[in-house]
Amino acid sequence: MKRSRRDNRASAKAKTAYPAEQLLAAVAYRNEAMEVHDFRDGGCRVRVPLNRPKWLVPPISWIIPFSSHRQVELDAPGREVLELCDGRRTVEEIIEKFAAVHKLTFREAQLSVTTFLKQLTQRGLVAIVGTK
Amino acid sequence: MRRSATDPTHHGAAPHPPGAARMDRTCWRGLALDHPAAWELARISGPNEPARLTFSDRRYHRLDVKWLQLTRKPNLDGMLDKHRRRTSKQTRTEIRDLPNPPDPWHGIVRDAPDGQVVHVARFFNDRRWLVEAVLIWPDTRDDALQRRVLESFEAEARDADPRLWQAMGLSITLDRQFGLHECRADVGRVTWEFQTSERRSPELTVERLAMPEHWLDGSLRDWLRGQKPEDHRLAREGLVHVNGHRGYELLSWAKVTPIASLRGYKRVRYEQAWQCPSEGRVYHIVLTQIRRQAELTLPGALEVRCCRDVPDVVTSAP
Repeated sequence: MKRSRRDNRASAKAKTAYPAEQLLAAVAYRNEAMEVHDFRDGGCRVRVPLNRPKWLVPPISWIIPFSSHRQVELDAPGREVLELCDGRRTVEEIIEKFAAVHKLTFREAQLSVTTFLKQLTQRGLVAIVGTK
Repeated sequence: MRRSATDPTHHGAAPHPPGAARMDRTCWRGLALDHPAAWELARISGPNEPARLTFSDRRYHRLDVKWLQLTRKPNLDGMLDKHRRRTSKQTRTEIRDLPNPPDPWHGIVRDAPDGQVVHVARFFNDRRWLVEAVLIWPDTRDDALQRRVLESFEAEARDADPRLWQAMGLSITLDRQFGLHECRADVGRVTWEFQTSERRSPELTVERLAMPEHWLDGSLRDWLRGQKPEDHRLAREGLVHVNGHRGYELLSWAKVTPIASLRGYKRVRYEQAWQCPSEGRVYHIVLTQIRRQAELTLPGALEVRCCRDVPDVVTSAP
């Protein structure tokens, strides 16, 4: 039977969905190229340089604007998590640290930290490297 | 006699032997059980769903409990046999009787690729409840822990009043006439709403909020004022002491429909908030009712406990 594009996407998603054990053991690396500007309230603005797509050449680039950087504003807890992504700590250790500081249970911290790490990864601020 | 709300031992799990996992107690919709503190609630059934609790540790679901009311006593061995035949056919694995289950539990155990799965069931005669539990042991089965968990199951008496609700770090005692209307568990915010079945019944909301150091910009009093709906007029505000903590109370009211207003009715809202420094949480109670008197007090049996031990998350799960 011919597989639809949606089936293929679902299958690819299923293949890339990691079990909790692997995610917790993965190490979070911060993007070294990012610039951090502090706010007084403990938050910060992060600028990440973007690669110019190869297809974005004149005359397409005359029509589609290209921003050289992506900017993300983080509140104080968000900044804490970003700082904990030092390339040494595992995701589990980041969650433990965040939970201990904010008097949260592991599960409360796990839900918020993993969701936040996913957003940081999508924005190119953090890379999560797993072990086989 | 009302027990001290700050006594850390009451409504807690049975004391655990040295070296054993720290236990926590969950009481939900009349069923109470002890479980390791590292098994946290991952799923909880709301008011219009079949009663169910699922506990997970950091990596796996560990305990799934379902219960339902039956009109007559079921044949537990027959039920388990049926389950054994069906599962054996599907998984093609050997399924054995659970050796020495604590009375009156009946159970079977199945070998899984990375551990064992235990299915147990029992019937509470008084409540006519059939309780089914599935325990997942990823490595080796801890018989002593399994026995402690299963022996701790208790069904509250049919006419128990007040009723204890204890889950997700929130622990309250409340008059039996208040039934659970809604239950929400967002990250760092647990909200339970209760109502009675009477007409124009009071609505009670209890919330437990985490990380106040980040969202509480000003004082708790200012935050409480900010919670008052815009159409409500402030009637009075003041200080209260709850569980030894200084808190604030606020009474406000709003107009209702024109006809009800002509009859002297108004929507009265009473709320309380306090911060528990040892837990690092803010507790918020809201009681609203449509009534003639512009005064409202919390139900007499309501007791919201705080000052619970903050779990040590660095301890590895059992």
